[in-house]
Amino acid sequence: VPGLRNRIVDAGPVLREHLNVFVAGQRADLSTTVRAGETVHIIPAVSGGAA
Amino acid sequence: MATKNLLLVGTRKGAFILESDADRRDWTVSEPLCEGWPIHDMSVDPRTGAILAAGGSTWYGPAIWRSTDLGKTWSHSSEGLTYGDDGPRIPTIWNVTASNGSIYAGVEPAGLFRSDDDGASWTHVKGLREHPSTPGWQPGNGGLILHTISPHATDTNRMWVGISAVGVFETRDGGETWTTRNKGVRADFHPDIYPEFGQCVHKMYSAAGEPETLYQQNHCGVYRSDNGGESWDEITPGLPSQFGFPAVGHPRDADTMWIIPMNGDDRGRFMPDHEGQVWKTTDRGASWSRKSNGLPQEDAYMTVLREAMAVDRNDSVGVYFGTSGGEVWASTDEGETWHEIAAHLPTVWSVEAHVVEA
Repeated sequence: VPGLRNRIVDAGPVLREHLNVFVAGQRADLSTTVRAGETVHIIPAVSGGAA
Repeated sequence: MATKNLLLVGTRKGAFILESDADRRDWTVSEPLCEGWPIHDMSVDPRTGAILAAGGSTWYGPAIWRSTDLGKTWSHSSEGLTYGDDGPRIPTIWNVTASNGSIYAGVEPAGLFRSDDDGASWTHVKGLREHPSTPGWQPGNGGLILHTISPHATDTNRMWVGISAVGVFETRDGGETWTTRNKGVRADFHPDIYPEFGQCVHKMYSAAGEPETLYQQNHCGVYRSDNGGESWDEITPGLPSQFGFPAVGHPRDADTMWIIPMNGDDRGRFMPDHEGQVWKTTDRGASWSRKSNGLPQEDAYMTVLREAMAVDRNDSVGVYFGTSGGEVWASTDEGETWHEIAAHLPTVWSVEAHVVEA
């Protein structure tokens, strides 16, 4: 998806501070390998947003 | 030909578009646009008619949003909007300004980006952050932000930008090199109150029909330059306070501007005496008059931020401002009388007027 990387990855590169990424149910970072058939969750953290 | 008046309102929780007919009396309010992202600035690209919105999500980072159907549908991009993997991270965008076929974005930490493809991708205008003063740049209360972009109306190689709390810079070579333009502007919070840079410019613009005439509302006074920023003269006398955020100019008269003084930087930053008021000059700042007809005159603890004031280009110029309490006020007679056109919005960060010939 064009532009998707910019929404998930910040300079560093690192995952954006208020996003949590899970691969096969385990917390992941940019070094995590995704194997065929595994599910990736990209979930906005409760620490983001504005009151 | 029917005229539609739009007011583009950027808030802490999304963009809103207010719409009225030619009378500008009754306005409708859209739902929150741009998926509720914090939006610091909205503007219109005069070449394409696209509406632009700049901001940043705490989850998803910075982006410029763009709509070519007056806000019904949106796309967004931040491709290239980075200082690189070794550079500082960019949390949000504070200004978006289209000029001469390009779109410019001012970001935090302070820097300038340009798009030559209608906002699809962005290139860092590196010359500004290569200025020798850069290591000494210090943030204002809102951060180290490039919040003002004022292109020269006729010389496409020239542009002024405003950075808090660094001051004004000008380029005359299309962004390759930049020069500080702060001579005569006070920085009361410095040991040397007239440093080369470090001034806390709040808003600045190049006047209609006179691109060398600049006005700025600063943390420490209101100023005018008659020579493209090479020197500034203070035009604060006659105002109730030197402190305020926005400054807007008449679309056809370089002598006329409107500002909204606040009661000082350490007293809550409200309208003076908690009375609603806008101040206007028609003689380049030589004298000022208080405009309060229709504005609340009791218990009005109103704050108007740097981008939250605008003028339209109608024959009788409309003047608009939005408050941190989520109100939007309008005047259709160049500031003489005011009426509230929206309330209960999130904190208003920006207001821009857009007149559409239907």
